[in-house]
Amino acid sequence: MIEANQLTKRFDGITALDQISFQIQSGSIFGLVGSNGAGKSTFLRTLAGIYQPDGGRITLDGEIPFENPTVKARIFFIPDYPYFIPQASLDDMAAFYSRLYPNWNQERYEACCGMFPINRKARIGNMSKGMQRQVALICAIAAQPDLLLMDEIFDGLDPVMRQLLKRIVGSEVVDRGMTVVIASHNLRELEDFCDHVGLFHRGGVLFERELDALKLGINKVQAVFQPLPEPDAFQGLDILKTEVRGSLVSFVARGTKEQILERINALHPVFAEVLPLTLEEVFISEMEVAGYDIENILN
Amino acid sequence: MTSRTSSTNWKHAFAETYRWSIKRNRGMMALFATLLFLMFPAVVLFGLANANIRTDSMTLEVYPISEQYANVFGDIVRYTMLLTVSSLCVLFTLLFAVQLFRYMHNKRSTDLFHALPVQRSAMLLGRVLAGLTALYVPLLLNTGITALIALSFDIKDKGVQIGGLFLQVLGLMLVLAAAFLFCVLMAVCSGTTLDMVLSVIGVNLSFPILVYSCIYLIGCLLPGFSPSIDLGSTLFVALAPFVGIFLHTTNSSTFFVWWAILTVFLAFLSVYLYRKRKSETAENTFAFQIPKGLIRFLITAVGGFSLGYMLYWYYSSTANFLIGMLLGSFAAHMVVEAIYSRGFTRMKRSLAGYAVFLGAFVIFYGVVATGAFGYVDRMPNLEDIESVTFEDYTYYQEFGSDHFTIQGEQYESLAEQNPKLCQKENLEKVLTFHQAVIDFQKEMGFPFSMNRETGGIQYQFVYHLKNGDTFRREYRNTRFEEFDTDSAVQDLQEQSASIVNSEEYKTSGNLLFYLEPEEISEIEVENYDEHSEMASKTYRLNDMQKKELLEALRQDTLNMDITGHEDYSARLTGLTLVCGNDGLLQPKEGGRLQELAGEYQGKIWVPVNQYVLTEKQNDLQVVQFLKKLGWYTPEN
Repeated sequence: MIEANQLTKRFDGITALDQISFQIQSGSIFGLVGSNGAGKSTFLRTLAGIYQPDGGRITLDGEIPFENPTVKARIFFIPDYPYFIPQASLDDMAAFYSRLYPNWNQERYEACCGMFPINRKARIGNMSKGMQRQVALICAIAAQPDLLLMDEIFDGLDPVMRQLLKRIVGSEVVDRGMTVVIASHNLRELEDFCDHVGLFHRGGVLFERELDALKLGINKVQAVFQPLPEPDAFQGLDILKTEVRGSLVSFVARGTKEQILERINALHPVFAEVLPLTLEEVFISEMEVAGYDIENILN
Repeated sequence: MTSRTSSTNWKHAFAETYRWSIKRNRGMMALFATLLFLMFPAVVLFGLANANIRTDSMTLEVYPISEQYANVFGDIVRYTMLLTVSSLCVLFTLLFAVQLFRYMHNKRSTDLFHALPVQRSAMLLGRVLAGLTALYVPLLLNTGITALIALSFDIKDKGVQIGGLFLQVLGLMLVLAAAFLFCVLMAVCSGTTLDMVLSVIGVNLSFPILVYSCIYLIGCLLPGFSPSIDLGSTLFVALAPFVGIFLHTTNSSTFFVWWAILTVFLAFLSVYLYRKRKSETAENTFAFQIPKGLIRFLITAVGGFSLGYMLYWYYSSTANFLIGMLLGSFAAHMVVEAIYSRGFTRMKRSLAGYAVFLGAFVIFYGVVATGAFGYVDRMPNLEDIESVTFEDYTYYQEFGSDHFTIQGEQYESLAEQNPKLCQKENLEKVLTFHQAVIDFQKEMGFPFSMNRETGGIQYQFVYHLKNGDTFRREYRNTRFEEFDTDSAVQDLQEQSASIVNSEEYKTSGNLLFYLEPEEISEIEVENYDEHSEMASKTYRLNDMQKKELLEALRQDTLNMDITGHEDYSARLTGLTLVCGNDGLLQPKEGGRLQELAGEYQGKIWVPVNQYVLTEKQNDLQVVQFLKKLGWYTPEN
């Protein structure tokens, strides 16, 4: 389990992480979302043991990663711009990592090399951004870490590779119980990949929730009424946001699909349907309720 | 169990870092080895192969081929080690350090390396060892090749020559270790590789200049201070190992002990700081503020001293020096700050650092100008003094020098004899005179100013104390002409005359009083009359004449007022006393020269002294002696 407790990190007077506290359960795929400068990458680097916290602590199964090779041997970090040794090929990097990561699995490495269209003898420096990310991912999977940290991993990957990445990482989570923390400002990419999400904003965690519970407990309703019922007719529904256009009423409400439909049908609409919300819409709704200008936070 | 596992992990990580770093630097090592080969063994080989070896039988009798080759080998090794090998080592020390530690200065590479399951100490030390290996292997390899070349030419004293070569290389390796670790420390403290390189160059250039400048300033300000500036001494390069690389041929044990200590200290400090270093400081200017402040201080001071001395040398005034110091230091501070901060945005904030420098300089200058906490007034007690060596350089020592040295056949120094005073009466005179000199210096102005002592040494006092210590004071030329009317000046001159005219002073450092008559082989008499051709005649003396001549010269020396100024415009005659074979003689058993030579039993070199006599010095006993023998006439 990853546990951040009052975790603080400052850079030249700027507080990148401001006493954040939350937990990530082992075996989960945790999405960190937030705008640029929200503290996502800083959190990942602190968790990877690259940065030393200025306050509080962060632990992996109770142990601090900074200057702790035993813990670091269980973590693999793919930064937003992965660095490779100058002139190195994929095989060179694999040889480099294999001597340092005790769980390195050569068979898994060979298998991954077969899955990704990468020339393992070619210089990585000459490869495209997306291919470099694939190289980093192959090394990460072969290192067989308990915790995989990925920063903006989808950038530069084509849709096929994104799906492949999700499938391979997903199988590692299922097969080995690997924990994944992935930072992105793209909620749509995380939606069908993560089981937990946390929203970072200005160094703090605004929001952290299980994705299914989040999505199942909130719904978007579109209904046509003739005539429109009085506003107090909707009392009893936990409505977060309402929009009326002529005879069309749209609103987002908390509750299960069945509970909401039952209440709406009692008002005899001409037409009514309950739509699932995208992750972005869920966040927007929740954050607006919390009083945040979510459009500014996410964009 | 945990600590054992941790130790195993550390060793594994260290070994892997070392192995990998060596692998990554194989190409550079090969390049270094090749360049070293071209500039060291190849030069030695070509030098020996093309040496101008004399093979005539006369030469070979005294100078065998193996010895000729040994001399050529020794010369080439000396110069190549000093110039090309040292220069290459400087270059590659910096290159390897940059190559191995630049990863700290890039945010992306720190993401990779600091996320690895490797302790920072293992990562740093593994790379340090790789760097040293990369420097040492090519160096030792080429030294080995050079040794083989020497063997193939069958040089004389192979063992000694090759052993000496390896010892020299060992010394170089030690300084290289210090230089490399100095780079490592700068890499750890710097945020960018450019700042690392600039800091290495800046400190290595500025430190020796700063030490020299400080000592020179003390010498200018502080009466009695004897700087004895030796640019090859350890002090001047103590924090400049790159300059130290060029001095590795020294025999000073202090030099090597210092580099050994510094190397260990730098290694510990680098590891300690690297563990504290924040990864996020990559691509900033400095990871730690204190080293930045110290380097800026160093370069600011050098800038100040440089301009200060430039103005001082031109006008020789304290005010000019201080103005130059102020302007030069401020300019240097601005330049360093602009380089380190990549602009002037932090200039205002950095002025606090400049204020610290100014404060430190004012304190330093103030302390020295006011006598350095009583340094100026300090004198030994009479009862603690064993003897005093005193020199008054105002006077021309006509009857040869008042000091001499004797050397062994191979020109090794055996003894140096200076005027030495041991008698209580003379010691009291010296102490009184010394106090008078101090009082006079203060009378000239206090606090002391820089334009007072700019010439050579005027008075030198070296007190040899009973506890074995030496207490030394040197006073530089005082502008007596500015104080001619001052009775204090006359008083000083009289006191000095009283010392230098004492019998003990005249006899203790003068070769005449150490020679035995039989050690004189012949004399040469030269006539320097400008109207006649200079002629020289050599006379051999019998035992009685030798004794008589020596006695005459001694008596004349004792009778002479050393402070007097002879008129050398009169016609001159030169009398040269030749001892042994042009100065190489076997000292008489039981004689004073043998006593000075101590255990040494061979022949010794003594100076060949000439005594200049003018036609107005007819009353000299030596002149009477020469006249009696008919050797002192214008016809000579």
